[in-house]
Amino acid sequence: MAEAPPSNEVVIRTENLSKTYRNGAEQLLRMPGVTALSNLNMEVHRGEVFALIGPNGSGKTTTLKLLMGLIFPTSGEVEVFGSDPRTSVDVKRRIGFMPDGPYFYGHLNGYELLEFYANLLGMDRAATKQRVMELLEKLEMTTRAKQRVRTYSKGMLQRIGLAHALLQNPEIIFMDEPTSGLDPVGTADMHQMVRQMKSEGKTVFLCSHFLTEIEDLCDRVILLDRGRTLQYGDLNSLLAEPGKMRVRLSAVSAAARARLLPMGRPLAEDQAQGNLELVVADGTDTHNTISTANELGAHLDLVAPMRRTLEEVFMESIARQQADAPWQDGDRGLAHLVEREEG
Amino acid sequence: MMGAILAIAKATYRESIRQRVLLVVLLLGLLLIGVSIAFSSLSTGEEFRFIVDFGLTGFVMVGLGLACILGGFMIPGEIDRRIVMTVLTKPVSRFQYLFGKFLGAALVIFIVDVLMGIPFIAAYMWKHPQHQFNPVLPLALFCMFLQTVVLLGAAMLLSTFSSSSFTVIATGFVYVVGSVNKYVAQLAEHGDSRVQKLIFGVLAKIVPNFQNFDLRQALLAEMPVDWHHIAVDVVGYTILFLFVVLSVAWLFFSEREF
Repeated sequence: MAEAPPSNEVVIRTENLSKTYRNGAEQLLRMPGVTALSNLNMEVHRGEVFALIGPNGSGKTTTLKLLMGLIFPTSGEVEVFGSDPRTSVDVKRRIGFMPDGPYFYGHLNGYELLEFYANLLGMDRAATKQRVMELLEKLEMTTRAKQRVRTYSKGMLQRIGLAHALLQNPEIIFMDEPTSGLDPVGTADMHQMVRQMKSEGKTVFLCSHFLTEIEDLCDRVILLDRGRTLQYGDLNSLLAEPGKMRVRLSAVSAAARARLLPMGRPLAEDQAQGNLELVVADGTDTHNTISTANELGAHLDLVAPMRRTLEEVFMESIARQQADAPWQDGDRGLAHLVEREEG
Repeated sequence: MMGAILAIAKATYRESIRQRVLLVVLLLGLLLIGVSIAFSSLSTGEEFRFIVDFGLTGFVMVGLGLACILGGFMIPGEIDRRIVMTVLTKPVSRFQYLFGKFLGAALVIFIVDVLMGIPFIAAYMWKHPQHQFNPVLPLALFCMFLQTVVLLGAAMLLSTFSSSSFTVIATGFVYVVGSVNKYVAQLAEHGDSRVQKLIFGVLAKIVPNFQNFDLRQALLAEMPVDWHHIAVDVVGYTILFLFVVLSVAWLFFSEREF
């Protein structure tokens, strides 16, 4: 599926966005409250798949709610299509929200549920029928259209949730944990839908715990922890390990292996097949490794920048943050990562 | 504008009529009317009065129950189940949501009143000395309906900033004070202390006078209808009261976070 390249048009922007929750007594006594989000600065471009990641309590849901105008900033600014989502009805015509749970009227059947939301959008009867049937078919829910929503499985709820989000053919789709609780087939289907939305030029804003899916689907990410931004930017740049290259060789003889091994850190090795993969420093070391491999008759299969997994980046960032400002109850248990890294 | 309000009202009505607790309230109301027929023969010579008194009290009790259940749990329930999030992320203003919920609940009250009204009117005509239909009767039931709608408005206002249990208790309090509003006003006038006068004075002003909605005496004495009273003290007051409480509810609801 051909994907439309993201444009530079900013569709979501936050500037020093902060949110502090205070209960009635805390408001009255001007007490500090709980800061869920602190000085968030980010921009999301049209047509990209953007992910908001972070552990529980990191401020993901708070950010999502602020972007949809369901809660209000304590300070800072939030703009969606250049308008305040709290006050602009036009913004809500252009966004779709897929919730992470069954936040729907359970007594309605699938068709009635979508019809209800279509009525909220001001769609007439004919347009409603056409759009609802189109979405039910697209999401393979036609046979379940007359079934009550309360009897739906998790996968069916996710599909009807997506159908509800897509009713007005939105330009931005906010998806909160879209694959949570789905089986592998459902997960693959949801990933396919995200790719399809991207190919249609829609902006997808994902909140997820599943880092492999983020790595697979997203263009850019923001990593939050305890309301603070730890990482933000292009996923490829974020995962790249600067100054290190991966060199994959085959037909490596025993003699060649003995010469090549000291030149880098072995990443994978299969002596019987004569395969060897090394991590070497970028520049002269890489050049020398390739020359030596050529001299000794080994085949060069791959030379690529070394790339970490998103999980590694995530764990390292969180652990570093914990080392800087430890959790008081110490319930994260990630300090060992920092120690290991430093050791 | 109206499309979203009507869609929310329709969904509210459809969800509410499925609630068993509302069915129980309706059955209790019908039971009260049944009991009034059965026991009216015990009060010889007063059967007609017994039916009217007992029946209208049934309407009041059912109305209070409906206002507490619908007003107290409808919006907090949707906030708890987070349905409100999926509605307010569509192009729906908070006013449209609030007014739609109100209209849906008012429709439920109307349907329940009609379902109770039919056997009540039949019982009235059966026990009437001349088995005659009194045109004041539907008007009295309409006033009962408006009284319930006023209570519903008060409950909805309370539910926008307080818990469901507080809303139910406070709505009951509004009903009790509203039913004795005339005496509360007298206490305000002849109170012992300045504080007492102030408290009762405020209560008498802000709580509706439900005695205005009660056409029991006109019904029993078969007096002509005082249309000026109906237009000003009942219908006019209901419109004004609902305008004020729903506006204040909207202000609170606009600041609510989900």
